[in-house]
Amino acid sequence: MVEMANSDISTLISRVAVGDRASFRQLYAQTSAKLFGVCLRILKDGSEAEEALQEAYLKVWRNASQFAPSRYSPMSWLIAIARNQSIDRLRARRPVALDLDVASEIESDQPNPEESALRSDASTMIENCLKELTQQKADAVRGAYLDGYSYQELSERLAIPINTIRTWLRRSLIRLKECLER
Amino acid sequence: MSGSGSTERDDEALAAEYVIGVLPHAERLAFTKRLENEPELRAKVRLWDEHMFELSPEFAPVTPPLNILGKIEAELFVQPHTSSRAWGSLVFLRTLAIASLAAVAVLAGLLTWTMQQQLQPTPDRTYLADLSGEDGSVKVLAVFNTSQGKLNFKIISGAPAMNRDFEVWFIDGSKPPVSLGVLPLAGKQALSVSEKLLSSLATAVLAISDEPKGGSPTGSPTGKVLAVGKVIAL
Repeated sequence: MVEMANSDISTLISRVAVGDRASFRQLYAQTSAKLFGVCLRILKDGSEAEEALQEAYLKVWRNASQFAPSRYSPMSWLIAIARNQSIDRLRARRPVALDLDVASEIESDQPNPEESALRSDASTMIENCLKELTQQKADAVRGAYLDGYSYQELSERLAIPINTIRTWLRRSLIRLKECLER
Repeated sequence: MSGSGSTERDDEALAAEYVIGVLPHAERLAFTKRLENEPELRAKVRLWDEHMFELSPEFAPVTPPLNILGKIEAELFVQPHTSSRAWGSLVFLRTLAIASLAAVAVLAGLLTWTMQQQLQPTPDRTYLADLSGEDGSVKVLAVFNTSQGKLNFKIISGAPAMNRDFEVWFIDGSKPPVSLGVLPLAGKQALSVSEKLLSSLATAVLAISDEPKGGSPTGSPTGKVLAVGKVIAL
C-alpha cells in the first residue's frame, strides 16, 4: 500500500479549503479506507459506518479552511473528524445490551512490564506513557479510543461501579498528560 | 470547587474524556457546544487528538463501498430542482432590495462581527447582504464565507411566529428562488451554499419568507416575504 506523504495530504486539504473538487476527490481516494476503518471499528455496523464516513467527509469539505498544518498533522485531523462522527452516532444510539460473551480485552489490574513491552512494538510517546499506568487502565484508555467504549461499557466490562471508573480514568488521563509533556 | 486551578484541571480531564470518547451522550453534547465558543478548550482537544493519534495505526484500513463518494458529492455540489412558481411581488421586492442598500458605515461595523465568526479574509471580495422588510420588523445581516461554502447570519430583529420558520432564498436574476434552508435560530447561525450558487453571488438577492415549521413543503416560497437584501461585495 502506497503511503501518501503527510505534506501531500496537507496540500490537498488546503486546496479543498478553496473549493477544489478534484483535490477533494483525491483526498477521499487517499484517506477514505483509513477513515472507514475507523468508523467500522467504533460503530461495528456497516451501514452506520457508511453514514458516519459520509458525514465525516462533508465536515472535511466544510471545515477544510480551519485546518492549519502548524497546529495539526493532517491525518490526525482527518481521523479526529471520523472518530468524532462515529462516537457522536454511537452515543446517540439507544443503549444496546453489551455482549459480555465477547472476551474482554481488558485484563487484570496488575502492572505487567514484560507483557506491556511485548504488546507495543512501536515505542511511541503514548505507548511509553501508557506503560506507566497499570495494564487495566491502559487497556481502558485504548479500548475507549479504538473501540468507542463508554463509561457505562467500561463499568460493565470491569464490574466496577461507574463513578469509580470515572474517577480513576480521569486521574489516569491527567497522569498520562503529565508523562506526555515531560 | 473554587479557583481557576481546579477548573483548568477539570477542563483538561474533560477534553481527554471527550477525545477518547467516554463521555455519556448528554455531557458529550454539552461539551461539543462549549467547543464552538471556547478556543482554549479547542486547543486542549487538539493536543489530546494529537497524543491519541499515535494509537491510530491500530485502525485497519477498509475500502468503503464504491457509491459513497457519489453520495457525498451529491450532497455538496448539486442543488435540488425547485419548481418555478410565479412570485408575484418579486419585481417590487427587487426594487426594494436595491433601494435598501445599507449605508457603508453599518456594513463596516459588521466586519468586527465577521472577524469573530472566524471567516477567512478571502483573496476575493467579501460578500454580504443586509436584509430588511417593508415594516422594518425583520432585519437580518448575512455574510458569505466563500471558501467554506457557508452563509453566516446575525438576526438583528424579528423572529418567526409560533410554529413558523424563517426560510432563506437565493435569487439569481429571473431564475426561480433556490432555498438555502430554514434559518437555525439556536446554535451556529449558518447555512451551506453550493458552489453553483456561489458563482452567481455578484448578481444575487437574498430573501426571507415566513414558512411552516420545517420550511416550505413545495420547494418554493409559500408565505409572505419578510425581508430582502441585495448581495453586495466589499
